[in-house]
Amino acid sequence: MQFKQWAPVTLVLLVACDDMMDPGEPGYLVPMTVAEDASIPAIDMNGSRFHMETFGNPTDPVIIFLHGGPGGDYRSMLPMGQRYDGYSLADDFFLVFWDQRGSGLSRRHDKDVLTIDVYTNDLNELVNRYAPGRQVFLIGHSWGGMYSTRYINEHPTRVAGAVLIEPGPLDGPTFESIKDEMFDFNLGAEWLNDWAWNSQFLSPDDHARMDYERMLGLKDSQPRYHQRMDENPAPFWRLGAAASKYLKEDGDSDSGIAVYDFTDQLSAYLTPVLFITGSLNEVIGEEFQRDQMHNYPVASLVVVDNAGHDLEWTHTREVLFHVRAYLDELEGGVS
Amino acid sequence: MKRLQQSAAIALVLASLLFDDISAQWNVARFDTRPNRIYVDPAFFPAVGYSRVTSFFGHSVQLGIDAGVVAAELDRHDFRGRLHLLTSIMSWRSLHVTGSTALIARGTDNSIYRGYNFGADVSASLGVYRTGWFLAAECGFDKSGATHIEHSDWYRTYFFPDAQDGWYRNPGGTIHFGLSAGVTIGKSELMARFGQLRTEDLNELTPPMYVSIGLGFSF
Repeated sequence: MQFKQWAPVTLVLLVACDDMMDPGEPGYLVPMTVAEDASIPAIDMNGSRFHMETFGNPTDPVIIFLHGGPGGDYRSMLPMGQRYDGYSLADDFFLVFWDQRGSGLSRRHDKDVLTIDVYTNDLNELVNRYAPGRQVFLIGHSWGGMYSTRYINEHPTRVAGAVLIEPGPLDGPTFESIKDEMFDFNLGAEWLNDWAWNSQFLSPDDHARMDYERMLGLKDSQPRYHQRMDENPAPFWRLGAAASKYLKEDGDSDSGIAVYDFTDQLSAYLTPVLFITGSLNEVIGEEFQRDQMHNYPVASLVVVDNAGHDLEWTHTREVLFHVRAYLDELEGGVS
Repeated sequence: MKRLQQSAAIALVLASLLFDDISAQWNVARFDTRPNRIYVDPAFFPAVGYSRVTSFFGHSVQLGIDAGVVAAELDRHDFRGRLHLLTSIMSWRSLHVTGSTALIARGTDNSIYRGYNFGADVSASLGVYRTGWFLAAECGFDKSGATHIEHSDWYRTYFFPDAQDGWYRNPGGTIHFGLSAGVTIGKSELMARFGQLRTEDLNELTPPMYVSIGLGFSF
C-alpha cells in the first residue's frame, strides 16, 4: 500500500488520539487541587498549599475542624458551620475548615512528607496562624478525632477543648484488635473484585488515578459502619490515596503492625473532652468509644440515635446540639 | 492463624482475578501431537477457550480465543476476551524460549464508572518443555491502549459533577514476572502460573501477585 493511501488513516488515528483525555491530568476523573486551580480558596503553609475556608469573626475563639481519612476532606463537615434552629457556631466562634496535607483539594505530595509528625506540624502552624498565643477548640471526625488526640498529646496547652466524633483507634494495639472488622473482606465482595479489576483499566501511577481508584472502596467496603451510601451519602471532593496509604504506614512497624500511640501523654490533659458516636456503628460505636474515653482523664460520651459513622453529615443538627452544649460549658475556659 | 488463612485466600482470589490468561503458556513441546485444545479455568475468573496449533511458514504456532467473566456474582459487565498467539521462538533439546502475544478487550462496571478497554499483552518464557511436563520462568507486559469511561450517576451526583466521559489515552499497563509449570495426563494438561505484578511505572498493585490455573483437553 502506498504512503498516500495510509496517510489519511494515520491522520485520523492521530487526531483521535489527540482528542483522548489524559487520566493523570486532574480535572477529568477527579477535580483539580489548589496546586492547579488558583480560584480555589487556599493558604500556603509549612511547605505546602492547603484548601481551606473560614467563617465568623477572626477575633472570636477559634474552632478547627479535622476531617476523616486519612485522605478524606472537609466537605461533609461543612454543614456544621451552617445555621440550625437560629444558631450557627460562627455566631460565637471563628470556624476553620481545611483539607489536610495531600487530601481533598489540597496539594498532593509523595511519601516523604506524608507522616504523622509532618501532619502534627501542619496543625500546629494552623493553630499559630489563626490563634497566635491563644488556645483553639478542635472538632475531629473519625481519623480527625485521632489527629486531634495526637495534637493534644503533643501540644496540650494549645487546646481549649475537643469534640471527637466517632474517632478511630487512638493507639496501635487498639487498631490491631479491630482491624479485621473494619472492612468487608468477603471473598466474593463486589467492591474487592472491582478494585482489583480496575487496575487493568487505569493503573494507579499518579495521584489522579490513585485518588480515583480510592473511590472504588467507598460505597461498600465498610457495611458495619452503617453509613448512608445510596442516596445522599457524605460527599467528598477528592480522596487522597497517598495520604491514606503513607499515614497508615507511618504508624506501622516494619512488619506492618500498627504501633502508633497518640495517648501516652494524655494524662496531663485535664480539660473535659466530648466523644460523640452513632448508635448504629458495630465496629467503632458506643462500646468501642466507651473504652477509648479512658485515655482521657476527663471525658464524656453522647450517643446519637439511628446514626452511623457519617453522623456529622446525616445528623448534623443533633451533633451540633451536643457540640454547642459542650462549648457552652467550657466557655469560661478559653484563654 | 485464621487471619493469615483469610488474608491468603483473599490474596489468591484477587491475584487470580488480575491475571488469568491461562492460554498464554501451554506446553509448546506438545504442539506436534494434538493440534486442538479446549480449556477452562475453573477458579475465580471463570474462563473458557479454544486454541489450535497451525503451521506458519513451517513454524508451529498456537492461535486461540478465550473469554471470561469476574467471579463475584458472575458479573457479566466485568469481562475479558482475548485473541492470542503462542510459539516456541528458539529451542535446544528440551530448552525453549517461547513468545506469546494477545489482543485483549475488557469491560468493567463498578460504583463510579463503566469502562471498556483495549490492550495487548506481550510475554516471553524460558524453560524446560517435555511432552509430559514443563517448567519455565516468564515475564511480560500487558499494556492498555485506551480506556472508555462513562461515570455513574452516583459519582456525578455526590462527588464530581464535572467528571468527563470519553476515551482516555495511555491509561496504564501491568508488568508481570514469575514461574509457570504444567503436567500432562493422557489428553489432559494441567498448568499453573504465579508471580509478581507491578504497574508499568513499577508501582505496587493490589494485590501484588498473580496466580492462574488452567485445565486443557487436547484432541
